Amino acid sequence: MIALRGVRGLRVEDVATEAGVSKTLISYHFRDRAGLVASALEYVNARAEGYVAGADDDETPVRELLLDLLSAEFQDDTAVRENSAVWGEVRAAATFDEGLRPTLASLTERWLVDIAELVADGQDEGSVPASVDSRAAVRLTSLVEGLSGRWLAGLLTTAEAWAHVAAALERELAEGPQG
Amino acid sequence: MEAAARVIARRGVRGLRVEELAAEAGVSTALIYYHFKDRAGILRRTLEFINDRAGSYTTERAPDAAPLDPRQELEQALLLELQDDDTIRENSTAWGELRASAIFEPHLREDLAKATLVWVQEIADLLGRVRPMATAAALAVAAERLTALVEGLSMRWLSGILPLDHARELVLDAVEAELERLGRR
Repeated sequence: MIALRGVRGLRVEDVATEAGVSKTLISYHFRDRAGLVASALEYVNARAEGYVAGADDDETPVRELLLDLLSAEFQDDTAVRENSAVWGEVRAAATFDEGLRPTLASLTERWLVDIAELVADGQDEGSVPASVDSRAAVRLTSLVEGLSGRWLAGLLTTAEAWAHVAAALERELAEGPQG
Repeated sequence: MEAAARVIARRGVRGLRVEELAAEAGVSTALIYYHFKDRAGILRRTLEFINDRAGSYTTERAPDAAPLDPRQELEQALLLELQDDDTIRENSTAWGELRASAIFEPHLREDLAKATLVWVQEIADLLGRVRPMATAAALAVAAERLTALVEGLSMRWLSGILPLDHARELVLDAVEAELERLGRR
């Protein structure tokens, strides 16, 4: 429903109809609208992690895992598009609705931690320079969010979004000027 | 137009009601419809307006200030979107809203695409002045990445999950990295 109408178009009645349950049941489960949005975001996030988890084995190089994790938002797939739309909506709505900020902040943090862990793995095995710090993750994820807005609005193709993320990742993981 | 930008920055595109806009502007709803025809017309003209206004604060400088070198000009152009100023905050909020709602309002896309292209082109030109040997394609791609980063950071700043000074530092780091990359080829 959020991907279809946006956070501000979200009505408990519509969700109940879409899910084929009563309004009371929805309200019982999620307490209020903010609770419903937070749960929806948790849900799409868990679903998004599912796409990436497929490639999660010891054989895959860290750089590839990082690229997968960052580019997971851009796929020509209805469910992925829906995920990205929900994320984008919640991000935009958090500007107006302070109640959404804690959820947004903690999910963003989790994303950053996932990336930081992969970077640390890469540094252990020597495939990522020791000079790469936590700011790289903030820059990369912010870039993905900016690209996502353009991709969803149809200003950027999936292939272009991937190329941008790959180039940015390569740049961030390069040796610093001092080596 | 100022009233429309204010209402969108306050309530979002989907919270935009012609009645509230009329009240904010101090005119009748009939006059609003006469001028803009419909809701789509209001959104389109608001996009133009916030774009023009962004153009004016990105280039506004004191007449007696020392001229900026190309690198400083590039940094200024990107950082001016990230400033603790009511007009800029309102502009960025309205821009983010219009962009986010383009998913739901397809008629906005073309204007949004045009406005984005103009911005990307402007940044590509500035990058080209710092790195005259870089190809047009490389400059355009770097400009697209830098502006997308600014949009992503701006959204985090406006939604209160990233401090402003942190966002500005990240932009400067990215400029440094993109210029280094352009200089290599």
